[in-house]
Amino acid sequence: MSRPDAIIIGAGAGGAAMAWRLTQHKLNVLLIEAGPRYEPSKDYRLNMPRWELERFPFKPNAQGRHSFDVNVPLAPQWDHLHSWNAVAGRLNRSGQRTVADAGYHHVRGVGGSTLHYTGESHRLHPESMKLFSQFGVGADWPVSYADLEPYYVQAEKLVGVAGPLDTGVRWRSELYPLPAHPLCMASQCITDAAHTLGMQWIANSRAALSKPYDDRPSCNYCGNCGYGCPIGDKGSADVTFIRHALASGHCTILTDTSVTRIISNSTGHITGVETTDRHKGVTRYKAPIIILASGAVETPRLLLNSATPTFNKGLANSHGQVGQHFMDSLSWVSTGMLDKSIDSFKGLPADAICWDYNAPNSIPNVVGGCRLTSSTQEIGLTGSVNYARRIVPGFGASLKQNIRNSLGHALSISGFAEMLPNEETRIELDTNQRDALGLPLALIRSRLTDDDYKRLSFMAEKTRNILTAAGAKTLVEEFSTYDHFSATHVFGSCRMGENAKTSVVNSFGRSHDCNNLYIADASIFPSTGGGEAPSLTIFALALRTADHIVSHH
Amino acid sequence: MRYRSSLIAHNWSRRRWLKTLAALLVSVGFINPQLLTAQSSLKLSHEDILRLLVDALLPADALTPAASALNVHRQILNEATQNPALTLLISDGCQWINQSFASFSSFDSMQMERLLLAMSTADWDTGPRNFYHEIRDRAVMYYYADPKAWVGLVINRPPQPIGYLEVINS
Repeated sequence: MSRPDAIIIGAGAGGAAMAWRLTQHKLNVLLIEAGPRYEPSKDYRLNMPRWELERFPFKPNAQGRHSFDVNVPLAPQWDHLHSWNAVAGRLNRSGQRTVADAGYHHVRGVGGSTLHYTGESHRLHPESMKLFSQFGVGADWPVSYADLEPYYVQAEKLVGVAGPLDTGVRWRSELYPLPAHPLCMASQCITDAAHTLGMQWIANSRAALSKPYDDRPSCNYCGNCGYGCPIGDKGSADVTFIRHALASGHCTILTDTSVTRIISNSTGHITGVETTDRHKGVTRYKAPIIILASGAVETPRLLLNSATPTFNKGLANSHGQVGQHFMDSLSWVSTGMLDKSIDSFKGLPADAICWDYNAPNSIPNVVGGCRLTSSTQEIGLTGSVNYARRIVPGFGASLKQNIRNSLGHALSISGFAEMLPNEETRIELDTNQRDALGLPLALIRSRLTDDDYKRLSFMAEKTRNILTAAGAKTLVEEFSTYDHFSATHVFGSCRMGENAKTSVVNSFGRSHDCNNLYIADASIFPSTGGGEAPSLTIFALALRTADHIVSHH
Repeated sequence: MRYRSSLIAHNWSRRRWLKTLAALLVSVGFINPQLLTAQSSLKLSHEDILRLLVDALLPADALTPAASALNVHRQILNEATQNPALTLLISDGCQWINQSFASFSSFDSMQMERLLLAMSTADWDTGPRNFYHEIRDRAVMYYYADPKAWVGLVINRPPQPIGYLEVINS
């Protein structure tokens, strides 16, 4: 490719959708990805005996390093929210909130975190986009649900979303491209039990094919989307947007290549990017348009690391907004054990959902909603290893017999909730910790508020009640972000808005400071929504921004 | 949602190792306190101690082999070569067993069960409880990752390539 029309930094959800749409407009795109390319049928090991140990295979460069500031004392009045399981007991005995495993759960690679996502495909609740004007908290989106709706439709078609006829408040101009999946036995059990409590559960909208579609096979319900889908029915960005972008002949991808600086001139015009390799040294790529799509942690990091004498606080940061308003994941999951097997390891993860408490005013005494999801497969209770490690205690002959007697009995329900921005939660540079190239790491600083604890408590109460109604006599595991920083979804660190003093980009993702710099990832979300999975909205925003770029440049 | 995979967090002083479990074992009537200070002339290797422990955790039965038959103990030791915290824990744990139990290799099943019970219910602020937890965690992980351990289980194959298409009709 000669000089590209646009350079996209990051081949995750936003970068992939952006690349596809720009190539549809015949623009030549250079997509630079820090991680590797995955080959689903070769790299994902769900057909191997040690599949539970392999989990998602992180290749070299597939995870970034981050620094954390989350270790604040746990609020004792919310101690009923602590994480525990039947094998280990309390999972955090430190008295402080701690980082769970990687903390920020992401994948660097062609497809980004969609490679290991479950594939829930949610449109945002329209009211959750107007939190400030309607409830006086957080920030409004500068775009409406109606603005996004045609792009939601487009994204759903590319991904191949299977969803229900019941649309609720999320009005649709077209039906889902594919019919909803059948509920697995675990989800049917939850749905029936919740119904007795007055709740309505429906089929979830899922980026997994219920029928063959777009030269991809239908799902075979193995239950392990999070470990990588080897058959290609899951609508990860690599087998959908990226595949079609490459087929256009207008897209080139550089993998395992880290952009270390965005190059700007004294007027704020972006001229290109620098990549740095320990062996090859610095390489510069130029293009008239630069799109940053590295996620809500790495996007602000790159902007802050691209400071110049003219922009000494970092690029696109004239008002100090880059890194502010960061929001992470507020989540809860309870697991109970049923007397009889319902083969709960079988079926599509998260195939059933409850939206009853999703509106911003659904939870008493707090603004911000949540959603509940069937999650037995999603949290890995799909094999004997995880049963033995987490929920079947003991040792000896009785342990082995109890494993035999309990597989398929576990039933899990999870909740994700709104997390509003707070002044103490943000992304900064950690000048004391640097990556292999010498650049400061992103420091993830996270604090919870009483409102966050209230939402967690609400979800805990609801999930426990449903499990009891379903016949679970004992709980065997609960996990929450009360005592762990464990973020699968991150948002808000380069907020979009019309006011340059309180946001980083405008409603089309264009930087207020740099008129040829765009952002296309969840860092621009002004709010998280009431627990919706963000990927579909990232896709939709990127498609909208792509159309804007084409019409304005 | 992602989970913590390991609880290794501390390096335990030898004093804490000896003090804490000694009191516990005496309290459950497992051992004469004088034996706790007896020095064994025959030190067992780490591999021997782990073999005995994993077989007590996961013994053979009519359907499936004991853990050591699937090389579970060696897989743990192999993991430890890449994990300094685990190496230290195994070293401390095995030293504690060698110093505390002169006849560990000849424990009968009842003695072994009482030892595991004591370790598994000790305070988390002790080395033995952490040693138990980390070895158990890895033992069950490597054991149930082996198809020979799947006999008699309803999950007796990897989820792919067949999947579970029967959910469509269920």
